[in-house]
Amino acid sequence: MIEIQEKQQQLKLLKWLTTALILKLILLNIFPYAFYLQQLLSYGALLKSLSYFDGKTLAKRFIVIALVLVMVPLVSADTLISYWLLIFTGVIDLLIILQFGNILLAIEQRNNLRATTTDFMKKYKWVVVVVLASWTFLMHLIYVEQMILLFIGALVLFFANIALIIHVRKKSKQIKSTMHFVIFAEK
Amino acid sequence: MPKMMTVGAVYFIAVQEKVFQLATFKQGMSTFSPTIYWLCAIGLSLLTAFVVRTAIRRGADKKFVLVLGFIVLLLFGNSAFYLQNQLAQPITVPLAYDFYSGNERHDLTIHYVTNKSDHRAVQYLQAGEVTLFARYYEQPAKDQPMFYYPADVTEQGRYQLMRSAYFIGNKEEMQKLINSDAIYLVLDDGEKLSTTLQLDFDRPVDEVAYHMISSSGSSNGDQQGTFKMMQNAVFDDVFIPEILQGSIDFEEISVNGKTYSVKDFPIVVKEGQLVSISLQSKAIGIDLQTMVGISGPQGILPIWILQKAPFDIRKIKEESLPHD
Repeated sequence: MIEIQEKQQQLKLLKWLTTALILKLILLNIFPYAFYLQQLLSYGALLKSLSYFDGKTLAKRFIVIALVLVMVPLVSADTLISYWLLIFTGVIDLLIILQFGNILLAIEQRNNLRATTTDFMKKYKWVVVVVLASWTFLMHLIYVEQMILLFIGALVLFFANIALIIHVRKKSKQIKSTMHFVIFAEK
Repeated sequence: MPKMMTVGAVYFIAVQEKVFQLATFKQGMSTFSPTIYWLCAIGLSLLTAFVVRTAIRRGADKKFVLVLGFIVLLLFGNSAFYLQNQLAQPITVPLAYDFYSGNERHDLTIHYVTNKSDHRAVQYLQAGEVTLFARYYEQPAKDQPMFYYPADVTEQGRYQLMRSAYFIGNKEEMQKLINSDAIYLVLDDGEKLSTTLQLDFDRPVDEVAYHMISSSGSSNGDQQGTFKMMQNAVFDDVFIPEILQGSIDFEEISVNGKTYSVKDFPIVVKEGQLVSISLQSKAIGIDLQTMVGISGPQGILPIWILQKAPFDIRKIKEESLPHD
């Protein structure tokens, strides 16, 4: 039986991960500064979440790259660069999420929970990949088509992220339910 | 792998920035040829392949890394294609324009094409010592700053925008414009765009007496005018200005329902007869407001051709070549 303290750590990790995902949920690209704030807060939350994990992960390095990417628009406001940023930010975010997927998997195994994360992550990553591939064609379109493609992609990502949040919530609930058992057992 | 990714990402952005700086619309700079863009794209693709291989060797999910590599390749290919379609410099649409000589105040609209990312606007038109400032179609309220973009966008293409600059001038100014050899449109930042203008007042010719019944034009280039003659006249020639020869063809004339072609000239028409003229115009990269018609000793029977150049960079460039 693992320690309560460790479970609490895991719960905190999941809580911060949820916070970060909720912050990412809505693309606030319309308001430039709100977007920076949102990105910084969400990466901050991810780093905070990582601080409760002491295994080996590449997530921290990916987050650093992502933070660099966030800063690029301050240097250059070029149209082509902004298309590149959209794609690279998407790729890096996906890589970060996949790293967290590995962490979730480790937590599942530690708590002897049903391992659903691998399946979920597989679906999640292919959905994101398809959206990103379609977005590489944005630069050839007129505004209306761009808006439609962006909107559809953003909508798909929105629902994928909602599903991810629900998945993470479910995990943390499952951990909590095992904790009740531990608490009752101690009494 | 993460180190590679970092180096890769930074490298991509740096190179892209550099390429773009070299290729952009700065004055006096010519663009690279499309070959360079594709070579850059291929070089970056090889780098991507290397990163992908390293990642797979270090134990990353093979299929997934390949797909990410594929996305990056798509991005490079699309970017090269995008850059290839950018204009080195905004271009102006040639204009053939006959002012109505009866008016005191004259206006003209010159269209120009800029890249979508280029938000500069034409500030004024310069021809020798004449300067005409670009205007709004509707004058803005007092003290309101002049923002031309994006109000001046008339058409949107995949990579470029068609924009319009509107000028007003009096008879003397227009006469100076007509006489000057080189007319420039000047952008906010001082860049000069050369223009191909064929301006004139409507030819000082006599018109025969007629009543306009109808005039029509269709998108496939058919132009038709129907008139009721108010005098007897003989027509023996087709009048088409030099710049339009080859792009506007006279098709037929019908008098009271009976059609004649050029071969039947001269044609005699009587007062009260219905005359209808058909012309065929090709879509050429020129904005037109010009008079054509059929002429004879009694005068000319005019049709005004009003036609906007299609948004086709190749066609516009063809017509922008200096006419001798």
